Amino acid sequence: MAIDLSQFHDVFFEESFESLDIMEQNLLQLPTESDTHPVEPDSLNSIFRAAHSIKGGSATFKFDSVANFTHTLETLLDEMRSGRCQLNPEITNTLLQSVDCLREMLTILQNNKTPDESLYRPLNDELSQLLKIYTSETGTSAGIEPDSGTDTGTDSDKDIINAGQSNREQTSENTTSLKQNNIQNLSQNAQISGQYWVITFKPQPQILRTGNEPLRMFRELAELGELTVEANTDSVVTLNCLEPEECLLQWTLLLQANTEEYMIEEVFEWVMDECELSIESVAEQVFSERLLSIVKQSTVEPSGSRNPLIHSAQQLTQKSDKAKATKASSQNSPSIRVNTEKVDTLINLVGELIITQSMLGEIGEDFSINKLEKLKDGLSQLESNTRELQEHVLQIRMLPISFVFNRFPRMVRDLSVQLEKKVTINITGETTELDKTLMEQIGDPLVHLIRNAMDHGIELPEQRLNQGKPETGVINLSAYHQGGHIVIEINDDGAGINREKVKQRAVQNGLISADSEIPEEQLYALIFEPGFSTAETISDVSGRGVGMDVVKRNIAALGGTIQVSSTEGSGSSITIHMPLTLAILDGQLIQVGDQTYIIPLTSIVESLQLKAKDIISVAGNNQVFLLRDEHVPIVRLYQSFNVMPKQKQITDATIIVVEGAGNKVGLMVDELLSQQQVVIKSLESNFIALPGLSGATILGDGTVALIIDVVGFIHHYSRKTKNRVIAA
Amino acid sequence: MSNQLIEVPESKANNDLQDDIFDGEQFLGFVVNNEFYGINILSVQEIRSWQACTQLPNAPEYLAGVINIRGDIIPVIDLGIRLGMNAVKPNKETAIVVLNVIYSGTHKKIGAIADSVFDVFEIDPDNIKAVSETIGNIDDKFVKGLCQTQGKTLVLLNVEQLLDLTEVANHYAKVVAL
Amino acid sequence: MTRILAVDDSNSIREMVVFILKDAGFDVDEAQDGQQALQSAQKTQYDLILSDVNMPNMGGIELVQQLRQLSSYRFTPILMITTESTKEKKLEGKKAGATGWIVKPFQPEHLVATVKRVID
Repeated sequence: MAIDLSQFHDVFFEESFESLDIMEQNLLQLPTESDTHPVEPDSLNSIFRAAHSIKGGSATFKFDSVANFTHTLETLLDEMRSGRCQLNPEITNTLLQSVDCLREMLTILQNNKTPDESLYRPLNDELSQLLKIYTSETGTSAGIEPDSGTDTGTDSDKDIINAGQSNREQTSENTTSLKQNNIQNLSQNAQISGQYWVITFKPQPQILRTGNEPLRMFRELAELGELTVEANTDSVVTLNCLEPEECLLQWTLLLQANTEEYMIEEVFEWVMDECELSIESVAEQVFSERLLSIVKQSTVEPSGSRNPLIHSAQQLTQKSDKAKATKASSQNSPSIRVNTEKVDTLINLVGELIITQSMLGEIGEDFSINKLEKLKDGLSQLESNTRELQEHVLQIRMLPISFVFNRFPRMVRDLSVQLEKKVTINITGETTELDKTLMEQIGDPLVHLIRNAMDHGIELPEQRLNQGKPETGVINLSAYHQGGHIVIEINDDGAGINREKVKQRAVQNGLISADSEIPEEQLYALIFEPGFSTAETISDVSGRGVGMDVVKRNIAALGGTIQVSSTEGSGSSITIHMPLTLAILDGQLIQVGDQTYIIPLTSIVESLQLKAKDIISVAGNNQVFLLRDEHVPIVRLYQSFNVMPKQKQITDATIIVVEGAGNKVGLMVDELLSQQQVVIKSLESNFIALPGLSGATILGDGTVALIIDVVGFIHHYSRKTKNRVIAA
Repeated sequence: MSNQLIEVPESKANNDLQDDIFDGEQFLGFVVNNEFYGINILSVQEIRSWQACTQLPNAPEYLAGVINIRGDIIPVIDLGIRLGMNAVKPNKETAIVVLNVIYSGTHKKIGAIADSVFDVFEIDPDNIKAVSETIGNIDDKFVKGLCQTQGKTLVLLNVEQLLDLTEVANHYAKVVAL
Repeated sequence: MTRILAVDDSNSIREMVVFILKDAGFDVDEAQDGQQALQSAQKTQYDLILSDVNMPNMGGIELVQQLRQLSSYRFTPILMITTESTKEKKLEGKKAGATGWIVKPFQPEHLVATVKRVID
């Protein structure tokens, strides 16, 4: 029954790309020419293991080009790992190129095409060349020429290559000759064939300790032909000295089979190091005599102790039943790999839920009012079970942010070459977890911000030296959890934002008036306005002022905010706050008229009641109030949403100060209700998205409550007010 | 749950006219403002008694709001207003007909509030007459045709037209631009 | 039914091995590294353990050494799946207590045949 191995290709590609990522990350951690700290053996081991894994998989699934390439790569890595080949930037670069090349090859193969030899041949040659140069430089003799054919050397260096060649032959020939190949390696004089074989087998006493059972080997021999087994018990000691775990028997085996010596050797392949073995091809007459003597002995003493191990060949050959295996169906939907611990936790939680449910069921069976307390207990238990279950289910979608961060060291490295700048990136908090969906969407904005920091932030080396800064600029990228949020920070020690230029540009774009004095924070916020760029030269790295507004919009779409701070001459810092997941939020329930709305707690600054004297009327029918030093506009939610309120007077209502994308407004509502976690449901599944709302949720009584998207709300419902305040 | 739920297959089974050989279409009949309307039963997912809707801010008048049906959030239209008449006044007969509609290739569910639901009819397509002119205040895009059955004149509705999402989106674009 | 534990950090190889062996009628569990394998082996008594050599956390060689310390696995067949076809590499596993080895890449039939060599 042929098994279609192509069903495992998807998994192979997935894991190979992962391995390549691992190789890349670790390669980037290898020391560069400037620093001299020793190579982390762990990094090299990881790189080696990743290459090794791709090699194993590609050979198995017959992607020969990849298998051969990774073999050369692996050989070089092994030399490095053993210290025979010294690491230097040239090698690191070639290795990085190899990673890229493999990625390309695998992508081509994934699309069911064959990579052209011109794609990988030059690099493969370069790797072989490196192998030759560096191994000979460090003193090991190695005339390594991958194509040189018949190398039978036995020193360990050559062995590796040699093994590789046989490996290559196997894969390229695409045959089953592999088994023979191995056997030939171990048999000095193969190809002896015959019909009558006398085999003496003297295993060492500890042979059983490796799980090798002589009986099984005899059974295998019996599959070759007619086998007669004679045990030699001469070495068996008396019972009181007997070590039951030691094998003290020795055997003579008479095999009548038309076979070759290597076939017999193969049976003993695994115990060659633990036995004395002789295999003789004998004449028919000799064989018959030996056979006769054994049979005679066994008939003389039919139940004797000398020959309990004479078995007929057929008896030993039993085959296990074949069961029908269910075919695993290949799947194309995006998958998520979940830590087994997380799954185990879920199973435990469901177990608890079932216990609670059965307890409640029992109470419900014949309920009487005196069981009320029990019912309450049960329900609160149910609540806590449900909450825990919910938390852990959401955990399944959480992945470490390293999935996104990992690409940056390489990007920074490549960009610094392109920009002729010296930059190092320090990453911290890469294990911080984030929802998979958010992960997929935060990548591009971060790429943009880091490119920006490198392009516009970090100065050229001479410039930095002139300013008394170290030649190499530093970008710090970090992530951590804060409350229900993930915070991502990008700091650089570059030039910082030029306030005057920002101001000039803002005046040019008509965002502010020339004589306006606006606070630093708000000034910097202007860089996120569309079409805003102050970079003097336009480079192909971060383009032409396109982006920061897009970055901000993308982050806002994920429910996040972005802030920038900067000190001219010594760098900028960008801080992104994002929810951990899009599926759930901590909400404040509020009431306006007969409607209940939910405001994300993370958007709420504070809530307060205003007195008449706190309210300042501004042009038209607008009011603001002073919150510490800031003028905050009052937005009547009932007006914005066109509902009938209970309270129309500001002084009777409650003001909730919310903040979105750096703007604060005071939302006027009838009253505050409770706070609770809500599951966010999209309005779009059956309807359309509405301005100022991020979705809806279902409350405990089954009714729907709308969730206010504070950023969108401010954008859509209080834009005019906002502009006026900035200009004031 | 207080909302009684009428399963459609049940009302189908109760229909005396049901006949396997008959190849006409089945329509759910309902009343809005004392007039009789019909909707192809294949579009009907279920019929629920009236429940309060959560208002959508600044929504067009005919959009009564959203309700929760087993965790799904579904927009609900008031057929009274939509068909150019008075809003439906909820009482114990009031029904929300949950419809399956396809908008640009995706399945969506919408609710339609009617004064009451009365029966399922089988109607021979030949008996459906096209409407040449506007009937009363009803926009003719909603009307598929007219038909006489059991002594009543039924206005058969185009479900796809009852809630036009593009129209709603345009409405909101105007609201926030103000 | 014969219970086999397949240990490999490579998902594709492991899934393939599991599939082939299940197809051949064996009862197969899987583990991603030596540590996991050791845990599973302590919970369930396997008739055969098939393990990769190069794995993170705990490699195949250490796994064999650890398993042989357990009384329930002193004589259990353990096969190493290896890409290293050099004699030293093969014997490294042997010295640690492995029963034998199978060299990657292998044909499905070869895997099944090899497994059948070591089980009763």
